Amino acid sequence: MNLQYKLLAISMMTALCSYISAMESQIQMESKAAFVSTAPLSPFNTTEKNGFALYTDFNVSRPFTENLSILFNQRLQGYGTKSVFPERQLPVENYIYAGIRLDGNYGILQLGESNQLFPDSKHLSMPNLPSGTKLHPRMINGVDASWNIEKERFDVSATTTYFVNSFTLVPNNKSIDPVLIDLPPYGKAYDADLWTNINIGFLLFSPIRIEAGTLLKNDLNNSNSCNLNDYQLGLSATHAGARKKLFFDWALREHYLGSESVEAAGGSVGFSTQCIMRMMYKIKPKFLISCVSDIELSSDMLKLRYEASIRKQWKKGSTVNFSHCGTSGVLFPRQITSLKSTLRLFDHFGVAPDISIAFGKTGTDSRYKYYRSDYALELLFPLVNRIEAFGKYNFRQYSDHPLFSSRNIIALGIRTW
Amino acid sequence: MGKKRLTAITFVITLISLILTGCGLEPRNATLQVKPTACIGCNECGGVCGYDAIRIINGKAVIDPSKCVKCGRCVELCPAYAIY
Repeated sequence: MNLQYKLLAISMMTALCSYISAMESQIQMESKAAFVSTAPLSPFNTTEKNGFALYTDFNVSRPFTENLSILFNQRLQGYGTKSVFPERQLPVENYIYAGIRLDGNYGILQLGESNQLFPDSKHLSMPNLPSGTKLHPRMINGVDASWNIEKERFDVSATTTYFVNSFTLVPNNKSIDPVLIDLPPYGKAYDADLWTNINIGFLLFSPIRIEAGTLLKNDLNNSNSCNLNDYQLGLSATHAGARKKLFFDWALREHYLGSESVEAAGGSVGFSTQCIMRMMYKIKPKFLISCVSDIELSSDMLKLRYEASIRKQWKKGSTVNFSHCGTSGVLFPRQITSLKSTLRLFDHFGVAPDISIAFGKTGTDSRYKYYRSDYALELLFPLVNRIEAFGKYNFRQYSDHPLFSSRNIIALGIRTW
Repeated sequence: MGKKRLTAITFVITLISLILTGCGLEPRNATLQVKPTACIGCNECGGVCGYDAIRIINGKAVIDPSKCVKCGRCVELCPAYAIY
C-alpha cells in the first residue's frame, strides 16, 4: 500500500480513537478529500494536471484533573500526484504533537514532543551543505517546553524548542557510483537547532506597559554563522473609550536582529523602530470595525502593513467579514481585498461564499498588477454538537506567475466549528 | 481620551506611513516575517519552502532569516496573507 494511504489510515484511526475515548475533551477537527486540477504551466506542466489531495487536522485537549490536561494534534496533508502542484516541495506531510499542560498558581506549564514526516519530498537547499551534495528531508523531531504566567502587574512567556532535522545527503551528480552514495559526505545526517523565545511585560503605570523580548536560535551543528539573536524592547498600552465601545491600542518597539549569515547576505541587521497602532470600535457587541497599522523603520528600510476590516456576527454563528490589507515598502508589496462569509441559514444547511482579490508586484515588476484571486463556495450541513459536513468548490487564479498555476479544487469533508 | 481624538490619531499615523511609503525609502535589507496574529499554523508555507527555512513554533510559522533566500513562494501561497 502506498505510504501516504497508510499514513492516512493511521491518522484516521488515531483521530477516531481520540474522539471515542475523549468525549469530555475539547476537540477541533477537519478532515477532507479533494479533487484538484491545475492549468498548464510551462515548463513544469505542458498539459492540465489532475489529482487527489487529502487533509486532516485534529486537535484534542483532554483534562485529567483540575490542573492537568493532555494535548494531541495530528495533521496530514497529502497530494496523490507530485506534478499536480509543481511548487510543492513536500507533497506529503504528517505532523503529530503530544503534550501535557499543567495549570496552577505558577501559571501554565506545557511540555510536548512533535514529529513531522515528509515522505516523497523533493530536494531542498540549506546553508553549509558539503559541496556536490543536496538535501533530501526525512523528518523533524521537536521537544518543547513553555511557561506562561499572567499576574496583575506582570506577565512572562517563555518557550524553548529543540529541533532535530533528519535528512539524507545525496550527490548532485546522478551518474556517481552507487557504492559511494552511502559513504561520506553522502548518506544520512542530522541538524539540531535550539529556539528560545522569552517575553516579559511589566505594568509601569496604568495603562502603560514596558515589555522586553528575545528570540534566539542556536545552531548546534554548524558554525555560529547560522545563529540568530533577536531582541526587542518597547512600550505598549490599551485605552478603553467611553462605554467600552472604542478601544485604542498602541505599541512602540525598538528592535535588534543580529546574525552573521544575514549580515553576510546583506540582510537586516541592527536597530529598527516599530510602531503599531490598532483601533477597534464596537458599534454593537457583535458588530466591529477595526484598523491596524504596523510600521517598521530603520536607516535604509521601511516596512508597512495596514489592515481595515468590518465584521458582523449573528447568534447562530453566521458571520460576514470585509477587509482590506496592504503591505508596502517590502519585498512583495500586496493589496488584498476580501469578503468572507458564513451564512447558517437553517439548522441543517448553510452557505459560505468567499472572494479575495490581490494586487501586487512579483519579481522585477515595477508596478502593481492583478496577480491572484480566490473564489470559493461552501455548502454546509451541520450535523450534531458543532460538527458539520461540507462540500467546497474553490477556484484560484494566478496571473502570469512563473511558478504557480491556476487551480480548481472540489473538496468533501467533515469538521467542527 | 475622546473618541474623536483617538480616531484622528489613528488616521494621522496611517497618513504619515502612507506618505513615508511614497518618499522613496527602498525595501533594501528587509527580511520576510510572519504576522503571528494572522498565521493559522497550517504549514502551507513550509510545504513550498525549498530552503528548510520555516519551522512551526507554538502553532505559528517562524521564518529563519539565516536560511531564507526571499524567493517569495510562501508569500504567494499563504491562505491568510500572513507573510510580508
